[in-house]
Amino acid sequence: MTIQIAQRIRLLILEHAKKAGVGHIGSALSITDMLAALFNTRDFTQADKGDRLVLSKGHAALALYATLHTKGLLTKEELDGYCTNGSRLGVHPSHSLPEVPFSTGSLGQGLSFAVGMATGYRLRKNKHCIYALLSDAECDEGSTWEAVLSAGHSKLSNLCVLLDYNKQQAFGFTDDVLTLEPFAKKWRAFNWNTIEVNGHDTEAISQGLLAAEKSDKPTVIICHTQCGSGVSYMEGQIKWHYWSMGDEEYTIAINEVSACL
Amino acid sequence: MSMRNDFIDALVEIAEKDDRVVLLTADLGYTVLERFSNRFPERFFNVGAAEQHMLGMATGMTAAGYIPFVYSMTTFVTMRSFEFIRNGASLHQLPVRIIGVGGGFDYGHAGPTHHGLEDVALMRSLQGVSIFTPLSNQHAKEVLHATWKMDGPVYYRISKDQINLPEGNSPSVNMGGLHCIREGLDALILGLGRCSLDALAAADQLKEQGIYAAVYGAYSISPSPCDALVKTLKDMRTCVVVEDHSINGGLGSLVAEVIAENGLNCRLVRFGAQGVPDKTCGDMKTLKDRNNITSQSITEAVSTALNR
Repeated sequence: MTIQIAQRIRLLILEHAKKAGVGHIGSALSITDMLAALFNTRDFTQADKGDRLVLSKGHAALALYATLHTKGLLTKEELDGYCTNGSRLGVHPSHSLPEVPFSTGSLGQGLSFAVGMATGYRLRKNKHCIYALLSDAECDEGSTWEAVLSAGHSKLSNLCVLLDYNKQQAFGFTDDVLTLEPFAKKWRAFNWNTIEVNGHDTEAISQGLLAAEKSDKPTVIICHTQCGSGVSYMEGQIKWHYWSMGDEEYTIAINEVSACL
Repeated sequence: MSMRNDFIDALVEIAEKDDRVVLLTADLGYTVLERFSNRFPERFFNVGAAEQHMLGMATGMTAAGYIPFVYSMTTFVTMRSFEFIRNGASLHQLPVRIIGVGGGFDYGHAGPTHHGLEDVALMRSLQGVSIFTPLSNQHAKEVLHATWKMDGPVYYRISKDQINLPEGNSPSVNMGGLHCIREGLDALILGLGRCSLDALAAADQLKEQGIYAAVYGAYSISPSPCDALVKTLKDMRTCVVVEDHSINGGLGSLVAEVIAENGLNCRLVRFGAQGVPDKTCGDMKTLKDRNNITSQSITEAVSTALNR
């Protein structure tokens, strides 16, 4: 079921990226299974009476919009207005949407916002959890590690990071641009409960989310993913971090994803 | 007692009444913040030397209903964390309160990295950030009591020193207000925060020459004192601004904008930090002298402008 939802999200991403003529398609496809798992098991619609999600990886916002629409939280009319003048739906997410607590897009800021929310919730004895979805390249930002250090020190067990480890960034592979390895070891060294899963296995991600709830530390679920996941010619190709699709590319992509529905 | 101590005392008074008030520091304020942390240990967060994270965390805490105050030196709290303030408290219009201690040359001996010369310009450039530069210790407390609950982010420029205005001065706290320390018809000398005292010293020298300058203190930079300035300057031909801040982007720039945009027939002379950055340290007087922020220079500027 969750897999079907993820494929529907992929179709919506492709459709609206094509319509708007914008890129960041690979980044959006990379996190579809993570969002499907999150939104199928958590309620992000109740503000401080529910869980909250900070999409720190703001450039993948189209995946979030598609997820919200799939869950009945965003109308087709509004989704169709993606990236049009006056729309609430830009390439990066805006807090004009109730499910977006903080506007993001500048890498390395979202985790600090999430740490603040989790700290505030704990102080208020609010039992809900704060989730933050980060990209791997965000871990190039020093400010991310300030937040990682802070949450580990404070044992913020109501904080869970889903880390999209697709090992690609704008100019190349992370190993070539700025290596993150040993990645999991780094998070463990910062006192985080560190889990590694296949980021396209929604069941494994859901299990990780359950394990996070039982931890007395903040949890990071390092999701090993493919940039452009679901579209064979995009997977692992650097250009699909930014590129937009031509007509033929669009048709191939739609056919491939539809075949898996 | 220093202005910062009085300010934190006032914050403790407020925190007694409202449990939404929390205080974050980036590991500065030793011997100053204990008055808060001892009273409210659960509402005090030393995040370590991590100003960006402190501003991000404060932004996040507002989502749980808190009113976070963040504390560090003016340089670190406004400059290192600038983009967090921009994309966090300013963009979302959240009640984050930024306490910048030691504007200008308060930390003169600490060297150029610690001279707070651009903070007001940076905060002025952000949308919807209120900026207050109290004129004295007592005024700092009153400014805080009058503004801590206001909408949107607030920046407080607080001195590490004790600052007292002359007897008889009890500045009020009005949004966009100016405080008149002395009336005068020949010229206006306007000081930013503690520089009101430099303005007053220059006015005393001018008086000996038979020149009667009005002296005003600027404490509400945003909301802008535009209307108060127009009213005060409309019959003045000379205005001198004195600030322990870069002459670009601070109070002098604000006054220039008001004069130009309102078509006022008034000559402006700005005294503040200028030229290339200084490489050396020194006490406040030494550093002000190097930047030509002296009573003598201000007096000469007014005399020259008045052709006397």
